[in-house]
Amino acid sequence: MKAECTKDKLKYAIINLERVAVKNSSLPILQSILIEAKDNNLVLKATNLDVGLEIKIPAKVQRHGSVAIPGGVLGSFLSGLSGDETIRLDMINNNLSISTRMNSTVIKNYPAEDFPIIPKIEGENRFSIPAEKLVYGIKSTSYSASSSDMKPEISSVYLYNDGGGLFFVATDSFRLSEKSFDIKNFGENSVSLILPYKNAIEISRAFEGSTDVLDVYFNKNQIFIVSPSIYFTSRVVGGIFPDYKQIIPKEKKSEVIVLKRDLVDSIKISNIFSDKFNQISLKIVPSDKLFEINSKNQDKGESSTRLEGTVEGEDLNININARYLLECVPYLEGDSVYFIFNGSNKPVIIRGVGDKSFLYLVMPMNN
Amino acid sequence: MLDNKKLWEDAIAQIELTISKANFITWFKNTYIAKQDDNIIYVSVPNAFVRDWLLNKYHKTILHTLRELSENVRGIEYIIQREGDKERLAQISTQIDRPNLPNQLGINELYVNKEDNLNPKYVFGSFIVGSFNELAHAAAQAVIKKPGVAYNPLYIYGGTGLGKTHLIQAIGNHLKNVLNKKVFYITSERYVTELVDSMRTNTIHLIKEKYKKYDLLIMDDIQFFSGKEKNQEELFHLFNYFHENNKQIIFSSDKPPRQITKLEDRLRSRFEGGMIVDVSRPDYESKVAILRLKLKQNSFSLPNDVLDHIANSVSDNIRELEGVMNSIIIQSQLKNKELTINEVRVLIKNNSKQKKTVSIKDVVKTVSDFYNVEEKTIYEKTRRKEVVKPRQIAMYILRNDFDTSYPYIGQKMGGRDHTTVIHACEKIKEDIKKSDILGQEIEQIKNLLLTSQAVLNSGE
Repeated sequence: MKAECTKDKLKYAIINLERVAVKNSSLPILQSILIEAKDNNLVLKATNLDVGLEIKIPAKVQRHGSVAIPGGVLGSFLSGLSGDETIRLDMINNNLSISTRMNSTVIKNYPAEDFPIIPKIEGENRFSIPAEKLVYGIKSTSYSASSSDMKPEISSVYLYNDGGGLFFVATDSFRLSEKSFDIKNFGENSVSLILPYKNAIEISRAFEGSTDVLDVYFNKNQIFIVSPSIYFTSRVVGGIFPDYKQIIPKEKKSEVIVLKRDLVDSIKISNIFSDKFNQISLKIVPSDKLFEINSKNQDKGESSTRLEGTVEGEDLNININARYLLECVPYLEGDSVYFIFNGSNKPVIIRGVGDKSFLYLVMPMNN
Repeated sequence: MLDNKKLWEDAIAQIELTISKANFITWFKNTYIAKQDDNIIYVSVPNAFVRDWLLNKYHKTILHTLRELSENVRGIEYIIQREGDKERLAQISTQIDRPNLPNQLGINELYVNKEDNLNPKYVFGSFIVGSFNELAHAAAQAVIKKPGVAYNPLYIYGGTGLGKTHLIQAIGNHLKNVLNKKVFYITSERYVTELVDSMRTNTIHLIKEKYKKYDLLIMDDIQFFSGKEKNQEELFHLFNYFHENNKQIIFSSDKPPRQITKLEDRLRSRFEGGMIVDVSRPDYESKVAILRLKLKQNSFSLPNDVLDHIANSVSDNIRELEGVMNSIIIQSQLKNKELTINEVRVLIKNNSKQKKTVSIKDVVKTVSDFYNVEEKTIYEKTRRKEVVKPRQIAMYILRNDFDTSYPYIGQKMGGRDHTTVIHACEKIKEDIKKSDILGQEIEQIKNLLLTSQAVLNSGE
């Protein structure tokens, strides 16, 4: 193998791949990044046998070939290398030599033929989606997924389509987030994919910042996402995602609209004085136009903040985990937040005012 | 043709020798033969990575090895078995991922109704009536017919696992569902915690108001009020409110009111003012009836001799009875066959606690250690005061808790007459009534005996 490429492109690819590669594997090849040089491109690959990622960068290839080198070593090397320079890759005695104007380095490599095979696209189901929507859909839901692997169905982000568009859903059975996009080019296909949430987060990182339209292929075992320069594949979870629509309350007993900025500030203040389970309590008295956030901690003290806004319906006192509230806030569109309450032990619904595409549901805490 | 499990075990044992351990674990973990069909072996793998790798790198080795073991293998197909497709044992324990947020409500339909704490599982339909609990059951029925009037309060006591909670919750469920009463079930431990919390935050009036809105209050395990004076006072006021307004109140406990130590007299007399019934240990017929009901609920059946054996050999605790039953059902579902009586015997042996054997020597040793007198003085003819009391207590415990006969105790305790023993037992019995401290001491000694016994048993 002999090739030349720019440092920045190589570094960008290696940083992304290094995250996927296994850190401490009993099988050292899994810690490596495979570099393949052919047809004026370098294709770099990494896998942890759960997801596989390939990134293609332009290069001047003089001799085809491939080499597997430890991801950590290459990553640290490139981030230490200063200057915006051209990098020349070559093989010396079966090891990879990297040289720039001021530096020459040889890195020991693994046998390239031991590098795992990353599964190729299989199956006829496909749809396309702009990268930014896929990334945003995952980001606005994945934090709600259960981190326990007892139930893989909910330790995941669920993607499906219906007449309303493409939906992203995640829940850990204490709260739930749902984000939808008005995408309807599915033709005959129906999408129903349960992605392990860690893998979903890898997808959002791999395509972060991309403006391409992605082609997504899938079968019952595997999902394949393709852009002109990136190829990503992950296993999908079997089983059935819980029928979550039934738990979203249709009625409303109290509703509150407040400014997002005010809400975030007051929750953060209250959370300082919350107990070790982050419990804060919301008090709603519509006749006094009162929406109040209270918290009390035996060791630190107590705090109470009143918010201005629209308050309607029945009086209510409800306890909620402050962390659960804060986590959804970045994904609420608009500058106002809309709460729907149905009593002190029924789920609370949170949306951005005027935004139908995002829904957050959180269960209260017991007194 | 060899069976799938054996064949694959043999095959990968050979492959393991030819490749590195890390490689073997990475690529052959969680693989197995899913089926054989027309001499094609279908190997199940966990994901597409493993499938592609086996197909490209190890296919020849695997095929070769399998052919050596089973001649007519024509080919191998790799199929992906997804997580979530398998029947997961984990589903039984879906509750596991909720613990560290004790107050956080889950989205799932909660099994226990949070507004009244009643478990809908406990109804009269699943309550077996036998001679051991028919009085309690009759009292419960009377309460249902005339709540607040017939027996107020209703006080049910009995040992653990005999169905007290079932009975009182069944009353609550009945009044709630049939008569639309406002019912509230609470364990006294919860009540005490609520009170203490509200005292700290000065919101005790809220608690008082909260309870006044109910028509029926059920309080479980009230022996925990022992020694909690302020809480007893609150309970006293609450009780008076309910009683004056002819609202029904139900208590359960593991002993009758007079035996709960450190209970204020005004509360004790109020407990005794209604109806006190006990639930005793089930007889053989009732145990069989309970087992049959349990079988019916699980749509399962067992031969009569097995039922008979369970009813005879499991002690008188219904909860334990159900536990043994459950493990028998699970075992036979796992093995996919009916268990023989011998297997059941082994199961029961492992499941239920051993009958304890305590020798007179153990008792004497524990008692003399407790009162710090020399063990041998107990057997001697001395009448020194510090020896007489431990000696009498040892006799009392042997008689009351281990059913030893009077003459035998006398003979073993240094050749005393049986009338001496009778006198000792009577005396201690009287003294317990007079002094709380003596009662507590005896409880402590009994606990010591039981724990030292447990150590002995496990040491064998």
